[in-house]
Amino acid sequence: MAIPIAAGIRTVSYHQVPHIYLGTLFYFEDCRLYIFFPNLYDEDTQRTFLIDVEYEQFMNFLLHIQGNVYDSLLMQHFPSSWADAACKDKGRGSEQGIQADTREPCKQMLHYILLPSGLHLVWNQLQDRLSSIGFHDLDLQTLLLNAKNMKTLFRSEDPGVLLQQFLHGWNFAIDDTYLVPNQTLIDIGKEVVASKHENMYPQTYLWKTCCLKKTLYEFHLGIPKSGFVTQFYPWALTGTTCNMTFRAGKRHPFTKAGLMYSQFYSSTKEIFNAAKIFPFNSTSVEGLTVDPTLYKLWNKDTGRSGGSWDRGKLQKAYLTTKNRLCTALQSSQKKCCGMREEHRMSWTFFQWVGKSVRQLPATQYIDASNPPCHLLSITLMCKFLYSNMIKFGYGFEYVLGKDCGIYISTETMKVATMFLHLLRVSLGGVLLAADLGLWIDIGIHIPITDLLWY
Amino acid sequence: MENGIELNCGKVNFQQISEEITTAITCSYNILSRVEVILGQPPITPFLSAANQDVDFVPLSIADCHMIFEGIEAFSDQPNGNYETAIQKKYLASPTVILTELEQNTIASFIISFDIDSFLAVPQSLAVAKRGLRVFDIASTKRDQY
Repeated sequence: MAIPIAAGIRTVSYHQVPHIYLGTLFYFEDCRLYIFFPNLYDEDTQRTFLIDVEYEQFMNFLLHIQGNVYDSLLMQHFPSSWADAACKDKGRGSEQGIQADTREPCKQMLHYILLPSGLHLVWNQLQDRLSSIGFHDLDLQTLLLNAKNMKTLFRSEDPGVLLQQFLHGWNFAIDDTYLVPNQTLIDIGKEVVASKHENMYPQTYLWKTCCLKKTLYEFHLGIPKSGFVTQFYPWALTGTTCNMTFRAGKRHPFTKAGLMYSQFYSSTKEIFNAAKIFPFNSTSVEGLTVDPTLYKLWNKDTGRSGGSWDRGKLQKAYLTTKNRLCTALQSSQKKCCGMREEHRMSWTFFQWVGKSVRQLPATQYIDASNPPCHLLSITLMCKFLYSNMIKFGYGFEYVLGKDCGIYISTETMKVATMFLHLLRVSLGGVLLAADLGLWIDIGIHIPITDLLWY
Repeated sequence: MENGIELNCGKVNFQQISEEITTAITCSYNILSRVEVILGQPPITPFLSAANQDVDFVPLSIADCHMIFEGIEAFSDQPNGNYETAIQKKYLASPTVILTELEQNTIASFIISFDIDSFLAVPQSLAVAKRGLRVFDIASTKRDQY
């Protein structure tokens, strides 16, 4: 989003700008509405939330304006102020007399419905009020509407039926006259998965690297210097399976039409996905490779014993991840994981694609004799991933434990870090070139093109 | 570079480390070959042998054991060499063990489905909520990040 700074305008990702989660659209629970405050963005502090004083000020304005717009029939059910609301949501936790004094009272997630009739007026008055002198920090609020993980909600084997389903929900809950078409982005996906069959064991499909390169070639449309940025993510360090992401250049017809980017990946990532937390992804676990004596020295120096440099916590985190992996692999033996492609496009392009999709046959086919994927049983795949975890985990643990964990030399630290990185990249599709510790070696010079294409 | 390689993070004496790892591999491999169970409590990793007792490991076969140590052997093969290159040669330039079995399978029955996964929009007004807005927890200090 555009952020006003002294030197002009700067573009910053939404997730870096202070914002609040206001609520959800009625009859469309998955659709969340956020308010962003670009004037609160500060490159030095890098915070994404409002501090209590700002939050209180904004909510009190909102409640006050709601009181002006809606009649008392509605407003009698709302809290009178931010402070009033703060007491109410802790009421059950703090007034029953059963909770220990030392604990923060439990909060109830209270919610209130704002009727559609006054919403536009509320927003206009809020903007007017906050643009006046004295409220510069909260001025220039921007709304963002976002819905994620709806792939199980809007899904059909018939693309025409899918669009019908989605547009029905969309038109019922959303007034798209208030949306900017080119700033409305939709992710549309296509998935191929083995169907359950009595005589077949559960299968997993993994994209073939060669087929993805062929797909990429087709997307180029034969246009020279099309400015494609492509990244391949080798799957679990294998040579012939990978995931792929690409984005066409600014002048490419796809970009002009509204296609932002496309992703092709295997659904096997869902086995380890814990709300976007993937195994061994936390860089803090690398702290295990640091010599324990150094921990003691740092803690002594900073007086933070048991704080940031707590080796026990890191070890527990590592073991918890390992345990989660084992549980996930053991309990996924009957799953079928498919291959997926996902395209992010503008609303305008989506409507254009929608017309074409409706003309597709209701049942799709792929060439079963030469599919674009590798097939393997889920049991075999789980064993493969498990053995990856064991072999690199073994290397990591052995190197750290070889001196009974009392002393870790600099050499040991480097090799242990390497094993940890390998552990991280051997469980799914990972961009190896991004792991500089693993990939770049100053002894050999890898051209940039090779980094992209491996 | 006689005893090590130069990485962007510094020089690594791989000779020293690899000898120890190779000894450990041989030791473990012999044990594993005999008992046909894998690494429930690795005998030579005190780091986890005590702490990891609750983890219930899946038993693997001898063939799996071969596979498990292949990766470490790839590093041991090149005591003075370049282990990044070893990784690339081992895993990226050729199909790995698992892929030999892939060709034996055939695609039988499958489902193709389409879905809408997510959307993102910048509304000009709260009135985008045609049926109303469910406002959550007005005084919440919960940081629900986008």
